[in-house]
Amino acid sequence: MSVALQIIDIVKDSMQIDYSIDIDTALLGAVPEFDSMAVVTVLTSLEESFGIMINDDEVDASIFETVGALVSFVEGKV
Amino acid sequence: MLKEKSENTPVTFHTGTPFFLEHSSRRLFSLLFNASPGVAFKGVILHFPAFGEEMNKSRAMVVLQARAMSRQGFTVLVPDYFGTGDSSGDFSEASWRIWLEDMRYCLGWLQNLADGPVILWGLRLGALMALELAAELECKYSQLVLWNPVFQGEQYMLQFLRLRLANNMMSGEIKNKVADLEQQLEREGVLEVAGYELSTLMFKEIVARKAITLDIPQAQKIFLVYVAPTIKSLPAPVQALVDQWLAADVSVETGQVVGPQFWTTQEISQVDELIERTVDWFKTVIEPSH
Repeated sequence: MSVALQIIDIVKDSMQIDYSIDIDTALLGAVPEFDSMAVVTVLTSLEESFGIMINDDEVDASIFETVGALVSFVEGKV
Repeated sequence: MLKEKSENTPVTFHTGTPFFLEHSSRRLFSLLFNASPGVAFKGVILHFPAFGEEMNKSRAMVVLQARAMSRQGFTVLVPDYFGTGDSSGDFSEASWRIWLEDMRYCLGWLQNLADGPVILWGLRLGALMALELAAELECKYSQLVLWNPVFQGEQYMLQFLRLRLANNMMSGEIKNKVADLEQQLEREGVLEVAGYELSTLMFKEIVARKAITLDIPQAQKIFLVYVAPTIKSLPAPVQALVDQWLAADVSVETGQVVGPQFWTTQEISQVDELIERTVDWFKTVIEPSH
């Protein structure tokens, strides 16, 4: 599975939504379900699924703007 | 024509009896689910709740499981930790030591109520506390049920502090780091995270907890279930711990269930398969005691 598809799954699971989302879907501030608990769940899932460590100083609102921004962030780390 | 009433019409033992367990001037709000009178009595179960908001989110699932077990012939006690839920005290006054002492008391209370096998059933951080109590008591006859256990307190606290970072990020406040929060906690003695006043003492106690250092009695039977939205193998640290137990001749069975992680989800969610799998495991390990 591509990084993008995996991330789409992780984001959907974290918010428990069943409608489809794609690379262009805006997250932070746009989807009400995307709250602080969802952010933490996404960070933890990304670390577990991709075997990466995410440092606090990398966590910034910009990486949660859209699904695509999150994909670019992870691709830069794997 | 009127349909006949279903045989599954709820009866009193399904709802759980709310009461306060008083101990060391602490009042613990508890729900007691008495074993169904219609079946052979099989034992007592003590639930160790999850931490913080995870406890609130998982309440419905815990009650459903407790009901299912009472129908199977178990008496189940579900307490709220001191400083949480409807128990007395403030969260900031709570500590791991107090919680563990209270759970020890609850266990004794249950054992006074009825003889029979003793089962400790923990969710998330509660599973780590159940393991600690099991290691301490060296019960020859006890079973442990662990739902998505937290095995490393340090990693868990990191995730908990991240909630605060995420909140800050979303409200556009000054960015800080977990290390800054730890310093603030040290300096001020308490830190508010997602509505919970975490004390320095509690933080340090949880950080120091590691399942891998606990000496689990050989006679222990453990059922570890991992719920995740998609099927994955068990996370590496969980698998490492399971392997360590197996090497020490502790009987461990693991199970994986696909479903929402109900202790974190936005909406209260239910995972029926988890309840069924847990009930099934009990059927294989516990015989009616009389």
